[in-house]
Amino acid sequence: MTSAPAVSERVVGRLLPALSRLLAEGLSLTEISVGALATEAGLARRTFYLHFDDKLSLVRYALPGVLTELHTSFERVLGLPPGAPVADVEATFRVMSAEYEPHRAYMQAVAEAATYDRQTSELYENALGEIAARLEGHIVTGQRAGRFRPDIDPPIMAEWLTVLLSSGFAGICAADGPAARERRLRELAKIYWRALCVRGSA
Amino acid sequence: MSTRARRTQPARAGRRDEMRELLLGTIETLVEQGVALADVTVERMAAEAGISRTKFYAYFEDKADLLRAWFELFSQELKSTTEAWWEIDGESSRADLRAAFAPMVATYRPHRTLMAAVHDAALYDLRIRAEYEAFITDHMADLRRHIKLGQRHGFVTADLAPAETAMWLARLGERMQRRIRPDATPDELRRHLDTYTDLVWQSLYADADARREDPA
Repeated sequence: MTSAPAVSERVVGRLLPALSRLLAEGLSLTEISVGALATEAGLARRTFYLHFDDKLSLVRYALPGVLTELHTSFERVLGLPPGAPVADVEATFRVMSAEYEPHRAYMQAVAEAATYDRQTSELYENALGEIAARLEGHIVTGQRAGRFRPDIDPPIMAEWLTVLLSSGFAGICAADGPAARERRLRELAKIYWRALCVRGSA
Repeated sequence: MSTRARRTQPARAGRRDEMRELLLGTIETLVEQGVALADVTVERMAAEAGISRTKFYAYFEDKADLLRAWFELFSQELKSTTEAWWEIDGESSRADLRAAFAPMVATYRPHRTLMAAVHDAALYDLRIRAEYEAFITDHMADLRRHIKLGQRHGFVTADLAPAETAMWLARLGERMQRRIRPDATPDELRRHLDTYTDLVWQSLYADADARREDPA
C-alpha cells in the first residue's frame, strides 16, 4: 500500500468522483458493485482490486483527507467573533456549505458505512469530537467576553451545535433549488446565533 | 370468511405479537452484549431466542419487517409524547417547555437500541425508510403548525420561516436522541434536556413580541 502511493492517488482520483456520481444518482453504497464502480471510473475491476480489498477500504482510505478538509472549513465558525451579527453567521455558513457540496455524496456513503464499520464510525466520531471541543472553547471565550449567554452549558451546547452543523450543510446542499437552499441556510444561521448570543450584542 | 379463519386469525396475530416481543428482546440483548447491529442476523436472533429460522420466517419476512412492525406501534407512542409541546403558549415559561420535553426523552430512552436499529435499517430497506421519514415529516409538520400559530399569537419569534425552522429543530432533536450514549448518567441526561430546552426556547420563544414587553 505504501510502496506505490502515486499510483493510488491516480486511481483514487478516478474512483472517488465515480463513487460520488453513482451515489448522487440515488444508489446506496451497498447497492453499488465494485464492477459498476470500476466501469464508472473507466478502470478495470482488476485495477480496483490491486489497490483495495473492497468498497469499504476505498471509503476508509479517503476519509482522513476529507475529514481534514471539512475540519478546516469548520474553523470558519470559530473565526467569527463572538457576538458577530447574524448576517455574518449567514455569510460564513454560505461559504461552508459551498465547501461541503463536493463532499456531500461521499459523506452520505460514510454515514452508511459507519453503521456497520467500526473503523469508519470511530474516525467520523473522533472528527466530530474534535470539532465539538473547539466549539466548546469558542463558547467559553464568548461567555467571558460577555457576548455569549452566561447560562449556556458549554460542552453540551457544543455537542448539540456540532451535530446541528454537521448535518446542517448536508441538509442545505440537499435542498431543492437555490431559493430553498437560501431559506434553509438563513434559518440555520438564526438558530445558531440565537443559541449563543446575548441579545442586543449585534 | 370461514369460522376457522375467524377463529385462527386473531390467535395468529397474538402469536405474531408475542414472537415480535421475544425477538426484539433478543436484538436488545445481543446489541447490549456488544454485537454490532449489522451482525444481528435472522440466524443469530433465532438462535438467541431458541427458535428455528423457519419459525422466524413464518412470522416475519426479514429483520427489517420485524423492526417495522415494532416501529409502527412505537412511533404512535412517541407522537403522543410530543403533544405537551403543542400546548406551549404565551403564558408558558421555560420550565413548562422543559417539562413538556421530559416525557419525550423518558419514552425514547429505553428503546434507544431498537430506534438505532430502525434508523440503520432505513438506510437499506425502502419500506422502513418510508415509514421513518413519514414519522419525522409528521413531527416537523406538527412543529411547523405550532410555530405558525405562535407567530399569529405573538409568542413565537416573528422573523422565523416556520417550515425550515421546524425541519432543523425536529431533525436535531431526533438525531441527538439517537446519539446520547447508552451509559449516559442521569446528570448528563438532565444537561442534555436542559440544553435542548435552552436551544428551542432561544430559537422560538425568547425573542417573541409577547415576551419582549414582559421581561419577567
